[in-house]
Amino acid sequence: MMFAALEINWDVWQTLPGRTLETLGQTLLASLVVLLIGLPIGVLVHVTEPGGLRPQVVVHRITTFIVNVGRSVPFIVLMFLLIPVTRWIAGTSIGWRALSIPLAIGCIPFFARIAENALRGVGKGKVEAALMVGASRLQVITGVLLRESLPGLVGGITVTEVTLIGYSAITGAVGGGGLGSLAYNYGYSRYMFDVMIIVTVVFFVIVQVVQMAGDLAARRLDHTR
Amino acid sequence: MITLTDLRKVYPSPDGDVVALDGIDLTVDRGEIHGIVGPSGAGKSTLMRCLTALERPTSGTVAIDGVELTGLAQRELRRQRRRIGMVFQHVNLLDARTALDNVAYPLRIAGTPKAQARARALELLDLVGLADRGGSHPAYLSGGQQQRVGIARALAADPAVLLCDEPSSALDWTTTRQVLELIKQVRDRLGLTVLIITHEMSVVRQVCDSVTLLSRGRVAQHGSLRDVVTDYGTTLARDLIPLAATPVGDKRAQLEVSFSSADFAVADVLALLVELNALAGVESGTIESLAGERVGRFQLDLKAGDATQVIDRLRGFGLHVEVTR
Ligand SMILES: Nc1ncnc2c1ncn2[C@@H]1O[C@H](COP(=O)(O)OP(=O)(O)OP(=O)(O)O)[C@@H](O)[C@H]1O
Ligand SMILES: [Mg+2]
Repeated sequence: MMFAALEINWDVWQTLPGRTLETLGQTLLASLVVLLIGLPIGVLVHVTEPGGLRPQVVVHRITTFIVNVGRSVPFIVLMFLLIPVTRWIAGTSIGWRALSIPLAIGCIPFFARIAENALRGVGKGKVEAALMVGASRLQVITGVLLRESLPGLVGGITVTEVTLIGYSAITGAVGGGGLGSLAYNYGYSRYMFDVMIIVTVVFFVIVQVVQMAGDLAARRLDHTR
Repeated sequence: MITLTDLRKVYPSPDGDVVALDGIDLTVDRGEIHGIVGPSGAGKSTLMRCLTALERPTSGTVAIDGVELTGLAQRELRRQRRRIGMVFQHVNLLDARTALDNVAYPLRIAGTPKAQARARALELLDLVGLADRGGSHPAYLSGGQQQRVGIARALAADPAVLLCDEPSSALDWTTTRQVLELIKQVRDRLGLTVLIITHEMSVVRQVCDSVTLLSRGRVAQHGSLRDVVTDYGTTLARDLIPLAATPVGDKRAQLEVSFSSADFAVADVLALLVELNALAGVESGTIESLAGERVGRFQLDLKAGDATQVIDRLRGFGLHVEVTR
């Protein structure tokens, strides 16, 4: 690859705010789905494990299997694989909205695993203590498992968020819009080095802000330090 | 109050079944503090888990306050569990909640409105001497303070029974004493029945009215503290009145003398030992205050003459004598 001497392509720069919003929108949309589906799956995997709150060997095996398969497919492959699904749900397979679908699906197993890990960190004794005062399983899940692992979950959400932002750039290369499409269409295809740089800077800032906000929230929620 | 009948628990395992509890019969009366002791693997924790119905017994029954726990449906079981307060070895407070909210948690679970639950929790924190620390999270409390909060939480739902699983084994000596004193004080004030699992005989000495020794899933010894310590020569009598270890390899004949102030004035026994000093000297000895009596054990070392003369004299006085070597 070769770049022309560093000149500023103002016409492309002008699309930067819009593209940034697309990236943020896509990530946010996917995050919501990941959280809404990944967390329950993580909880399910955790509580159904042998010796768990509600041991269910079959359910545990199936959910674990799905999570593992989901995590072993590289995102770029998954994205192509899911084109029919994307088209079926969104009616199209391009644009940031449509591509938030494979983005979410790709990150659900990732987050489910992270959530399960965080839940695993809650001591069995705490669960027993809650059961002993007559808590129902649902009360144990919400009041003990989720609440006690909240700092860990928030940390996991932050990691997932950063991953989502990275993956969202990949969708840009296949018609997903956002900052990724700027980097691909102008920075890469038309050798616009300035576009490459500014996209990198914007990504850097976004990830920094997310990471800092996540760390701050996790620290605020952690009452053990 | 607490009644176990023919309780058995068998854990299946790859190398054959493990019989953790092998036919336990046990009754603990209302208002009593009962200790359960036994070597590692004896089945103490299993017994506790069956008592709380966290574990289902293989056979036999567990009844608390006349209500049989075995065979209750989930919902009813949850209701019954509120009648049991549980104090854990590792306290198991919820880190995300303040001390006050930890104590209020059982009440919130039972559906008590927040303000009311907190008011009651504050009363309980006051009872355990931590009224001013309600806003602190567990991580900022000392081990002893955490256990006090644990006791307050166990008392929140007005239980009839307090179960304590090694409540003090993570604490130092002074803190242990404070926690045990608190348990006793709570029993006196609220009239609860208390069951304490422990591997420390000092805990039994300090708070228990009665004690059960478990061994390989069976009751090896059982009775009021006063009765078991005067059952001279038994495991519990020896462990509750421990003698300091004497050097190994010592081959001289030795005698062990046990007595209780219920039968003899301590001074008279000591006078007798002084009198016999020329024939048998005291090698080591212990006098413990237990269940309102002083109970003593002495190890005597034969110096001269033959043992029978000394033994006859001691037995003639009415003391319990064993030849240990
Ligand atoms: N979940 C289990 N599965 C299989 N065997 C078990 C299980 N729990 C306990 N056991 C066995 O049951 C026996 C009694 O164990 P238990 O934990 O009740 O002993 P313990 O008296 O509490 O000992 P410790 O003082 O070491 O805590 C042991 O032989 C143990 O290996
Ligand atoms: Mg144990």
